[in-house]
Amino acid sequence: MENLFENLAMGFSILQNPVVLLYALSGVLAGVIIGALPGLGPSVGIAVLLPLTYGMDAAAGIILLSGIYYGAMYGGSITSILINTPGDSAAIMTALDGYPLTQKGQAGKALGMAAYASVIGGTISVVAFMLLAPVISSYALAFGSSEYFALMILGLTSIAGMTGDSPSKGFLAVFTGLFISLIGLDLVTGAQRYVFGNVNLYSGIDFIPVAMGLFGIAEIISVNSGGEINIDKESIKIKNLFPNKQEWKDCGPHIGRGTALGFFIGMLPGAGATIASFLSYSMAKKTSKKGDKFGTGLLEGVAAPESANNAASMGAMVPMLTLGVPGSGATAIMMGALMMLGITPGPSFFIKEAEVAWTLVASMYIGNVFLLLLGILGLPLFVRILKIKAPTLNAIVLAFILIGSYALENSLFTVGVTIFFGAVGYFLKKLKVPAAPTVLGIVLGYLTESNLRQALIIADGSFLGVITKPITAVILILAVLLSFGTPITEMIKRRIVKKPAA
Amino acid sequence: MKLSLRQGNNILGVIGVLLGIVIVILGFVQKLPFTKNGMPGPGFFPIICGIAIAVFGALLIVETKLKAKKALENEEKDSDLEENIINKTELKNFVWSIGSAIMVVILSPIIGMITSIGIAVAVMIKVLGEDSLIKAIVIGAGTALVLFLIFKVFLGVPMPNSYIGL
Repeated sequence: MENLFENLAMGFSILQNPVVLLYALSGVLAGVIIGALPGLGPSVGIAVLLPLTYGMDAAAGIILLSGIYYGAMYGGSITSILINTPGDSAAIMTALDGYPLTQKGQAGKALGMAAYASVIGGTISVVAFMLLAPVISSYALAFGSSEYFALMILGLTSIAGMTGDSPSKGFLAVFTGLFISLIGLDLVTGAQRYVFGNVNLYSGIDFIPVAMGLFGIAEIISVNSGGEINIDKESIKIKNLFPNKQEWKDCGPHIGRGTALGFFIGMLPGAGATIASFLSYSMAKKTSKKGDKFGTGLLEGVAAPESANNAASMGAMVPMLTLGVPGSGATAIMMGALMMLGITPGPSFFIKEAEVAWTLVASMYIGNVFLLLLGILGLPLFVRILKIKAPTLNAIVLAFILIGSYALENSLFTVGVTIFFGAVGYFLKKLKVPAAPTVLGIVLGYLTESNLRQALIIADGSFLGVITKPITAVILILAVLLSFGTPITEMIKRRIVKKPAA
Repeated sequence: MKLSLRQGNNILGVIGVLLGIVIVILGFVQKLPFTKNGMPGPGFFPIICGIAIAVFGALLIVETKLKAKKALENEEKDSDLEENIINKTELKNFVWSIGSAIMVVILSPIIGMITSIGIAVAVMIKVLGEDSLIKAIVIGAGTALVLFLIFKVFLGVPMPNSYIGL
């Protein structure tokens, strides 16, 4: 425990640098703005703003990106509450009670509660993250290449099996991503794979232009203008953003339960913030004395999902940073970004990169304070941004995507790759093919292949020898079970969605 | 343009099957060995991916057929499989967004990337937002200026060589 505080103190000491603090603030601000735009969530935010980390040191880069991540998670609630258009899927449940509150002239209270619940959920989860992550890392240090291979398979199958409406589409997406990751020179044998003499393909296709296309361009094409914002300016004045004592008393238990639920669900690969907010809302409805009034404009119905989705975003960082297995699109992009910055997340992250790791933890505390301040003081700005026409915002976001993908390798070929995946991504989105498995496939492709090769060398070429190692076998069995995640999550969603409507 | 989810799934399934087959065939054409000295060769993973893409493409076709059959049996007239998935506004967004982006790639070596992006932004705002030309030009120029300051001045990214412009 003493060590823990020492490490945390080290993290905070680095944060004393005003430039690093500025990165945290900019990340949260940018995240809230992107998250507030209808249809654009954390994955898009991180993908679009990733180029800003080029040339940064690793700590600053990850602080900026994680700020965008949890900022966007909160930002999604703003449009849910004000115009009944969730910024991303994790904010769907917030709209159920948030928008009726706006209609009642209590938009400020709903937005205030969303901010408090997000910050409380986020902050408690950082404590849990801080306690849990080094412990998981220390156990995972014993993992060899076969266990790593199994972990990669777990990450890939769970995200393929649990996102989208059909496992076939999820697996189609994941294998396409894996294939894309294999294009280029084989680093072991030097063989050219699917290069066709194109020098631009020798070093392979990076995940960033693909993510920018699939998440960024595809999303902005399908984003239509949100609803009209017609709110009473008086209701969003600072003095009206604070819930009263009774409201705190009503919402407190839901925030506590939502945080615990969100954090643990967030840690499960593929489950993520959306499921966490669905379950938290459902649990709040069951446990509240006013359960029958949920959906008519109750602050409790805002507090429960908002605490859960921000807690889940912290929970999702645990497997990504300690095991190197991201469980969502946003964490997959973050992991790729870390690798771009020269850091490989995994069991040794908290040992080899202790300074970066603990600066990140410290920045999460500060980031949550920034989130609270921005959530309250920045509200008039966010409302103004929401009034800008969607085509204007889309054009500006596209501009950032194009120049950002160029800046990755100073190559127009990369811009072409982004545009290609943007066009393809739009049609895939319409066909309900999830983008996250493809991006995760690209991020984990090389690691999966190299770990399998190493494991086979150690096992004298025996594949059976690799998969029958006890830990490897357990992880692989879990991976097979999670492949059937979609029918289970769809069933949960159907049950929960039916009930509020009832 | 009308395209239902059922038709789209079937097209995607067929593309998946064909893509998978092409990946496997190209693996052999490029002489990527499946195994080398008893270990996975450079063709091992790509060929497995190709097979898996083809299999899941075929499964998607089967799954869609089963869902359509079930919807027919249950007389679900509003089954989401038959809904049109492409709307006019999005199609217009698609054409102008992708078109403007391609224009940026083509024009960058001539008039510079930042200038091209500024023009693309103005065009998109004028056409998709139906704003006044002056407003579109001001926002396009403003975006170009911000990008110049962030990427050229702050991050020092070397822009593509061009005859004129930035």
